[in-house]
Order: sequence, then C-alpha cells, then structure tokens
Amino acid sequence: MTLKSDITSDLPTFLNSNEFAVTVTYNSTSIVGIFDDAYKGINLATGEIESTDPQVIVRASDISGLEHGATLIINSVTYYVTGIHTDGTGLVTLMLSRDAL
Amino acid sequence: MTDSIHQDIVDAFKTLLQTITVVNGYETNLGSNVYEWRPTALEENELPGLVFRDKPGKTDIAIGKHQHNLDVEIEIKVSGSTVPATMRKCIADVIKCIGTQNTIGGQCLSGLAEDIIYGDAPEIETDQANKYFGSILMKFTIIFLTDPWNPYTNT
Repeated sequence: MTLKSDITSDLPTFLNSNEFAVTVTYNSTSIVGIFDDAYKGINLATGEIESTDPQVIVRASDISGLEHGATLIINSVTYYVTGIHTDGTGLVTLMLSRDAL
Repeated sequence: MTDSIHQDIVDAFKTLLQTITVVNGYETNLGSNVYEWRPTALEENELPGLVFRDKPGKTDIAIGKHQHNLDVEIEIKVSGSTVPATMRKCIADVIKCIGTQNTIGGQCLSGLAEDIIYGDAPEIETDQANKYFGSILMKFTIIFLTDPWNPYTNT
C-alpha cells in the first residue's frame, strides 16, 4: 500500500463521531465532519466586531454537488456554505455562515 | 467646575444619535447602541452599533471669538442577511437625524453649535464569517464658538 492510500483509508478514523467529528446534516442526510468555530475579529474600517469563523471538514465524496448557499445543520444550527476549499486529498473545508449569502 | 463647550457638544451629539429608533420614526434602532471612542470590539449582539469619535480640528479667529471645527467620525456596524439594505437605512437615518439640527441661520445642538457640515461620502465595506457584516464610515464637522482662550464660555 502507498502512503496516499493509507491516508485515504484512514479518513474514517479521523472523521469519527466518537472522537472529534460531529454529525452534519446535508440534504436530509447525516454525514460526519470536524467542526471548528474559532474566534475571528471582523476588521472593517477602524473598528472591530467580535465574531467567529465556523467551518467544517468533510469528505468530498459526502458532499457531491454541494454549492455556495447550500445549508448544513450542525449542533442544531443552520449554516449556509460560503466557501468550498478542497485540499485535493479527498477532504473539503466548508466555510460557513449563519446568514444567507 | 462646569464642562467645556466641547464636552457639552459631544454629550448633546451623543444624545441626538440615541434618538435614532423606530419608535421615533427612523428605519433602524441604531440609537440603542451608541458609543463614543469605544476602544474595544463590538459584540455581535450589539449590532447595529454606532461608534463616534470627535477629533478637534482647526481653530480660527472669528468676530472676536475662537471658531472651532470639530471633526466627528461616525462608524456604524451592522449584520444580517440584508446587510446592504440595512446599511442604506442606517445612512439615511443618520443624515435625517443630523438634519434635524440644521436650520437656516439658526444654531444647533441645543444652541451650543453654529452648524454641522456633512463631510466626504460614506465609506462602505462588507465581510462574511459567522454572520454577514457591514461597516459604514461617515464624517461630519461641528462648528462652534467660544470666547477667545476660554473653552468654557461663549458670551
């Protein structure tokens, strides 16, 4: 086996809801992803707004056809997808917002 | 000791901005979150919020008085899925609010100032993270008089 195939086959271990992953509802289907909602200061003009920058890492194969504006439910909160950042290894980081585009 | 006229004007200006509420006939409740020189970040639940900063400008000699030009920056922060429309409402509300003070040939801010002049066009920015955010920067100049070398009186 190659390292690449090892990593690919290990993805379910990383994306395990008994570990760090959470359930993500997309198109009425439950998938898993690693969700982060870290602090982000919004610096517009000279003043700042305290906010967060929610994002979730999921398997690309779980979100086929997903586009900007799609909705995901994570921890009972509905998020709108504002960015789709693929890493080329089978994982995708979805940038999220509570407000629609 | 009484406050300087500069201080009284800032107090009156803040009170004026706090009248921007839907109940008072405006489109937003921007007046519910008004801060002067706030050094810390606004929280999401404080939006829409308004921070103003008064920056003393040039002082001229005029008819035996000191004529002060007090530059005021008004920074407005909003959020929500209708940010562009909300920003337009906030701009309109601030102009309408300050416009209540401008009477031809009259004074404003409870007689403390001679005039309020609308400065450059508003600067607008947006960003999206946990929410959709917008920011507006508006500039005004408040002109007021004091007795020469006496910031406390205008006799």
